Amino acid sequence: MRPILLKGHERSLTYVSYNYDGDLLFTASKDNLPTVWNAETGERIGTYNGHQGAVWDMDCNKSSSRLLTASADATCKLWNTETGEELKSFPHRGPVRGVAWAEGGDEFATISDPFMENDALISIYQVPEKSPVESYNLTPRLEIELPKENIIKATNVVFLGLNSSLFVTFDDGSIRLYDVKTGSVLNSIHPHQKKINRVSFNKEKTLFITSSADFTAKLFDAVRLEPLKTYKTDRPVNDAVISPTKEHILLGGGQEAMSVTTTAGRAGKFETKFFHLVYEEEFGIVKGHFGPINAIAINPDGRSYASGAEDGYVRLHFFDKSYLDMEDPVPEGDGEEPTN
Amino acid sequence: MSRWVDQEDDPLAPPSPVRVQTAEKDVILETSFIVDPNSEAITKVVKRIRVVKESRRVPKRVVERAARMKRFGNASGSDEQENVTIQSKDIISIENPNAINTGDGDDGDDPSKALAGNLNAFWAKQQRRQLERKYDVNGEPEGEEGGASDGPKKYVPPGQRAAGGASGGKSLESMAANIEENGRKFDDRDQNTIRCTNISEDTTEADLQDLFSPFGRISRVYLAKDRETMQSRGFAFISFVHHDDASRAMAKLQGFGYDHLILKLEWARPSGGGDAGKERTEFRSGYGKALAQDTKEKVSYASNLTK
Repeated sequence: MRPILLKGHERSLTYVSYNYDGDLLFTASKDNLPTVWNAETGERIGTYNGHQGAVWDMDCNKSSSRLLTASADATCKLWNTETGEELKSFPHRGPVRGVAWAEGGDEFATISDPFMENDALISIYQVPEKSPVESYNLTPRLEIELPKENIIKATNVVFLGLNSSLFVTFDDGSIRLYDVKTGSVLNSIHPHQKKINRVSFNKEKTLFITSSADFTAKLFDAVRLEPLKTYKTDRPVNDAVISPTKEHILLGGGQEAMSVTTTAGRAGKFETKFFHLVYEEEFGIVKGHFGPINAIAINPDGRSYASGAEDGYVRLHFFDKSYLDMEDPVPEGDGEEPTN
Repeated sequence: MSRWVDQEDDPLAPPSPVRVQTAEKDVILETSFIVDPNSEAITKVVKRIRVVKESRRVPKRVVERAARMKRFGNASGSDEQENVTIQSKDIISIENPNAINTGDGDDGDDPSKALAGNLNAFWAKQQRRQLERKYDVNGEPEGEEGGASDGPKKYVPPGQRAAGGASGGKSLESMAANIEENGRKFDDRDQNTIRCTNISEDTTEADLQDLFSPFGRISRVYLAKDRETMQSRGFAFISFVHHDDASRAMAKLQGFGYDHLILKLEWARPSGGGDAGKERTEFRSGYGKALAQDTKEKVSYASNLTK
């Protein structure tokens, strides 16, 4: 493959994702310019100007008409995806680390870090698409406080179960499901020992994969919250995605600190790892980044993927025919040779 | 098609490129000429172009959006595209993560071959696992996998390395037991296997691969590691596909200075592998059985000495 390098960001990447249709690629970085790119050509279409701090998360609605961004400047902003116009800015009490649309695009949730005397919060706002933007309430409909005594911070938020529950991951490695109407805890599991960096769902939201600083990524059944598979690596996993068309997992990770000077500290050797979803076997790596990979996204058509790293670059890869046609050999057959 | 003789400009200029349809319906032959200005040599370039049409269905919404969306924000400058989006000059392929590469270097350029190589290696590993399970050999040492549960290598002082912290002799025996288990693997290939000792802690399988591969194809690299700490134990087995390659490697690398230590190479011992922690006494240094200090623990990490 001949990756396309997207050099629009001046600082490390925090978020990379495709829209539902797979024609737009959204990227956010520690610089304050969330950007949208043409997913086919890598051409930069536009930047959403307005934030004054690092942008940690973004979410685009299903029709790609409205975009949400979460920033360290303590605001979450709503944008017109196609024109770049800022529609509304929702102030928070601390840096906003995550944002997610509800199904249907009439509500969204944010997670914000504690700041000074304020606790960490999970907030749900109402932004009905049919109502004019001016009418949107800047006060959230629901606020769930995460008291300071527990010293845990939320890292990701997603709406699950057709808007019946709010799925939140934390930096102590736990996951909780909250009731969307009341905010009470419906369920919780503690699958990781260290921070869950990111979580990624399949299209139907029946499976999810968590990426953790404990060097593993785990695949779960989203309905029962049961762990199914574990993918082990030798460095903290920053992001992972499930391929929509193949039984593969793509993982991206980083070094703990630049103090590790041996092994993959060499130039261009930070790699995206490919695992077989069922066999948990690592079968491939793609090198090229000059820093730890912070975010990975795979196109809904499964034919291309993008990775964003600490080096400020996004690399857009289009899979070769050999990968797309690849059959995954079954590990234990009846002793027959597979035909390659 | 104009005859080049009739061209009005410089009669000595090469003709313009010509495209001709071939018998195959989607293949076109393009013939062009390039003149080298210095030597005036003319090179005839014939390109065989296959035109393939791929059609993809795209939702109407996407097409409409593409027509609607104009550049905005910082992208609305005129010349910005050259700086921001660049196609990489390098061809990247999905590589085999294992340190052991059964393919040749020249296969690396062909991505489809590299991938087939990955699958072969993957499948070969599965076969080996199947055989191990069949013959009831313990699982592969974790150093073999593309990173099982290896944590980052941290220095653990010798006094804290052995689990249980009992006498050093015990740890030596337990290590010997470990080695005996893992040693069984070398039955089939031991004729071509070199035992390399006095390896520095930082050396990895990949480094050994790089060091030994110029001598010939390597079928396996096994770097001995402590079970608990995953620390390198300072020795390794390198198995070559061809015996002559192994001999040449032995000759050339014997006494080689590698990362501040001098390597010692020997032929690996059959079934049980050559290792440091054997119960059988083997005097390789002048001290023999009696050591001046009670250094049982320390001895286990210096591969040449016995207990």
